[in-house]
Amino acid sequence: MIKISANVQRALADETLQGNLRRAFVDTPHPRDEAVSEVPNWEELRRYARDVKAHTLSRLPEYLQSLEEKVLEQGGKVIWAETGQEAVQFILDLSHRRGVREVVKGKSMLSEEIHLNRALERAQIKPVETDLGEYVIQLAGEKPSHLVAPALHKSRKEIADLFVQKLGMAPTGDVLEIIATARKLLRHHFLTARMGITGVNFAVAETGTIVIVENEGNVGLSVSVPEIHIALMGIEKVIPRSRDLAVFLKLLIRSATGQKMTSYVNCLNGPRRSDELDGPQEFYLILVDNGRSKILADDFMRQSLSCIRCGACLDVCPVYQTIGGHAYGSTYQGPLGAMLTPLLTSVGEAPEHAFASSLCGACHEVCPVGIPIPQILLKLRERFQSERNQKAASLSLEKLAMQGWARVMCSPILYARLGRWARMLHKIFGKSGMGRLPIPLFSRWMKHRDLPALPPRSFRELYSSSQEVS
Amino acid sequence: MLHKIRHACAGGSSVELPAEMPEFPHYSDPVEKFRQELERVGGVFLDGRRSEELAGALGLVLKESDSTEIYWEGEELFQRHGISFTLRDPEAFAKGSLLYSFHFRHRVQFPIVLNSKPAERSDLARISLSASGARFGVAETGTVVHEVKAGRGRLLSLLPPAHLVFLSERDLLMNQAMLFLSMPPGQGSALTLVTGPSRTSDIERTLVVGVHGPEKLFVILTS
Amino acid sequence: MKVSLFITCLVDQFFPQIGISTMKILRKLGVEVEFDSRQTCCGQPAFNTGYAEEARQVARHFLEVYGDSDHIVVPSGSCSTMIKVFFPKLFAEDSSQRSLAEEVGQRTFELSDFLSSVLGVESTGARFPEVVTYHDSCHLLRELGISSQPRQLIRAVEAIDFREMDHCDRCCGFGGAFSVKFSDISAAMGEDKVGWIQSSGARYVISSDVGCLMHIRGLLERQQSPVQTMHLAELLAKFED
Ligand code: SF4
Repeated sequence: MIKISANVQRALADETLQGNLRRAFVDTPHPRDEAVSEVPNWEELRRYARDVKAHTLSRLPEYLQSLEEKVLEQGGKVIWAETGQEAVQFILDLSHRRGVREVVKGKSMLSEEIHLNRALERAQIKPVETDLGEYVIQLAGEKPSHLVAPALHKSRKEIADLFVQKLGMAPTGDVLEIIATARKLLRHHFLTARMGITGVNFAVAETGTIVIVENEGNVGLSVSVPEIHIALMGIEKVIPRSRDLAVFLKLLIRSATGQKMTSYVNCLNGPRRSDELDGPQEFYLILVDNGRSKILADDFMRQSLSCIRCGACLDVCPVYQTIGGHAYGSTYQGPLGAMLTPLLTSVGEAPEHAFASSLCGACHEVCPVGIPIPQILLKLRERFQSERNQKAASLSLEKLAMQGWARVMCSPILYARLGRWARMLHKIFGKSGMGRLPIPLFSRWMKHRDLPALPPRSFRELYSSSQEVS
Repeated sequence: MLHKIRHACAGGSSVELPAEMPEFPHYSDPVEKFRQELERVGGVFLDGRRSEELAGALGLVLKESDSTEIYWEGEELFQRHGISFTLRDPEAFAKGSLLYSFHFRHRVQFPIVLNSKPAERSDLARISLSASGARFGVAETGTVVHEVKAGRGRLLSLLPPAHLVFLSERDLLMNQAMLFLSMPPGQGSALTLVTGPSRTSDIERTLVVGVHGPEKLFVILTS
Repeated sequence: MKVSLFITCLVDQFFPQIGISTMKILRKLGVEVEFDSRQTCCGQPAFNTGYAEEARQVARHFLEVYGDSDHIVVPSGSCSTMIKVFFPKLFAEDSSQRSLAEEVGQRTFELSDFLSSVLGVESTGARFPEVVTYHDSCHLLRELGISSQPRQLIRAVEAIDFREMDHCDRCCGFGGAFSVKFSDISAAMGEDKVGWIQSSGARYVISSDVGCLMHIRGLLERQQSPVQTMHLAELLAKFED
């Protein structure tokens, strides 16, 4: 079971994290804002993308089949993995058959989701993350704290120290030098690794094209040098047509980094053809379900599968900005993680995720495909409570309290009477005394804030007496 | 598994594909827009539309990338962009060796004299400047599109620290929508949209140019 | 014109003066105001914590009380949102309760929206010679899209010095149950907000949601800050009777 509450204190006390979050998202305007405001028909693009996604999800089997056909035609292979474990097993088996000892990897959240690196390491295969942020995280033995900028929680100094300690780099505070070190080391891995594993941003059903967006050039190398390329994709990543890419790329890239275009967008159609100079001889596309079809089966929750992993909802989320990504304790963080974690697993596995939100709606406002995250979180809260209170014999205290509360709120007489009693209590105990009452509601509130003083008379009392007078 | 997905899909509401694509921008001067966008992301734009300018542009690229030789990608590049050349090894094309290095001592002069030399992967890692032709350019974003097909590869444009792209004016498209609408459905195995040099912001969100791909990107526009 | 007031439970029990101010403003503008004492709560505490059934019961009670009202005016952004946006979602599509909820929702207005958009009021004639700033409450801003109405009304207050704070539209961290379930995160968010309020130079922070104000005020008091919270209705009612 993942508990966010257990991680909050540590996150709040982590000064580097707090400084980095502030600098990145609070103190300076996000580049996204300008990139979006430049596009006059942004809302139209969003609607289009949302509709294309909704359409695709409603016909997912057809599109996946067409994708498979096209990939096969081009000489690639398609593997259907119902669970993360199945995907991992395929990769392990193939590596063994081909005698692969080292793998270069492009950034892939799905790979994190299915814990691929751990499995590779256990099988004595060395995974080398080649995205700079991921490389840093891997060296540190940590997990990404942001969807797009995985090492966001680390300062330049921490990264430099890490490089000195793990790679023997001469001490420096210069970002250029840190990068030169990484470049040199990774170049060696690129030129020797025999397998490249990447994620997928979009897969075009009509052409069998796998699209991977990046800035560094590491994906380009990972899919060009090694003999084997494995692309890992969630089944929800398929889109119908090439032309849709124009819209999705515009939305994704501007939302993610505020760029108009990333340095590279790799569109891949299977393995190298015999008359091409280079490229992988073998190309595998692994279609991973891992809980997605379960989400798909729920007509309302289905919307969450439209996500294009841009990270904009994290960037604007005041909760994410306050606790960072690690506190979520899950592969996906921020509003996306709050939504997706209990959906992919269960509300029992991630009981707090849906509640770790003030429902402010900033995520919905920026989401390029218009996912109503707050409404999904509300539904998840509902699911959590109803699963928790399925049996009448074991109703939670909170449920009983809510039932009682609803009775009071449906009865104006009870309601008015309770108000009077509360004011009496307040008179007896005083404002601070209320916080010492053994009621968690009060004590947790009063940990940080004062309670408002109860007025001597409620509005309704004042109103009825004024009516009597007049 | 497909069965499971089909089952999951069955209950849901069906939604139609939107009928119309949203508008993408058009420009009265696409070349100028392309130049602006390319320069904004740190690329270098050179106008080689008049043949007298071409030699100068090439000279500049060599100087800026601190190189004395260029590795060219295929014969088509010369034909397509009207670059006059002669082969030192007249049978080179026929022999199927596909990369040509060309040495400069002084100024660039036409016809360019090419030395044929099939490059190995280990050569690629040492090359300081490579040149390829773009299939398309996109004014909206300053993008050039590199197409992998028969006789061409992926690495020549990725491994060297500097890369030069020839873009013909007639291949310059207005916007991304036009690009994806006019893209030939996969003949080759890869198509890369390149927009400026390689970059990262992974350390404290500071933008640094030149990580794994080229640090310098030049585009020469030809007519 | 006749208006049914939904005063909300928090205002009723904790901040009656906000209700009185609301009434005072409406009466001054010649509106006939009615207060039905059968009213209680909009059901948010249950709805926001996942107790849909309990929220539905309370919503039904609300619809019973307000089913026939012409205009329902609410001095709270989140309660108006509950009624306008979420009530319909509590009932099955095509049910009669749902269409009733939708109709009632259309007749429900947050106070500043009612004043600006329905009555077309530019100024309530209030006078307040102080420096103030405005905090956008999330539901009012993002669910109902109301941000210019309260500002116009504030700017029209005589002698007022209105200053926008940085991040005026960022959540204060209240979030109902969130403020107790994740008290530490909520407070950290609130402290950020309090910081921006203070650096705006304002002496008063105005908002349209009692929940936000209660949270912000609780934090300000802990810091013994001179800055005070004030509900929009209280500000707009600062005129001579
Ligand atoms: S939920 Fe929306 S905003 Fe968040 S990562 Fe996914 S697409 Fe982006």
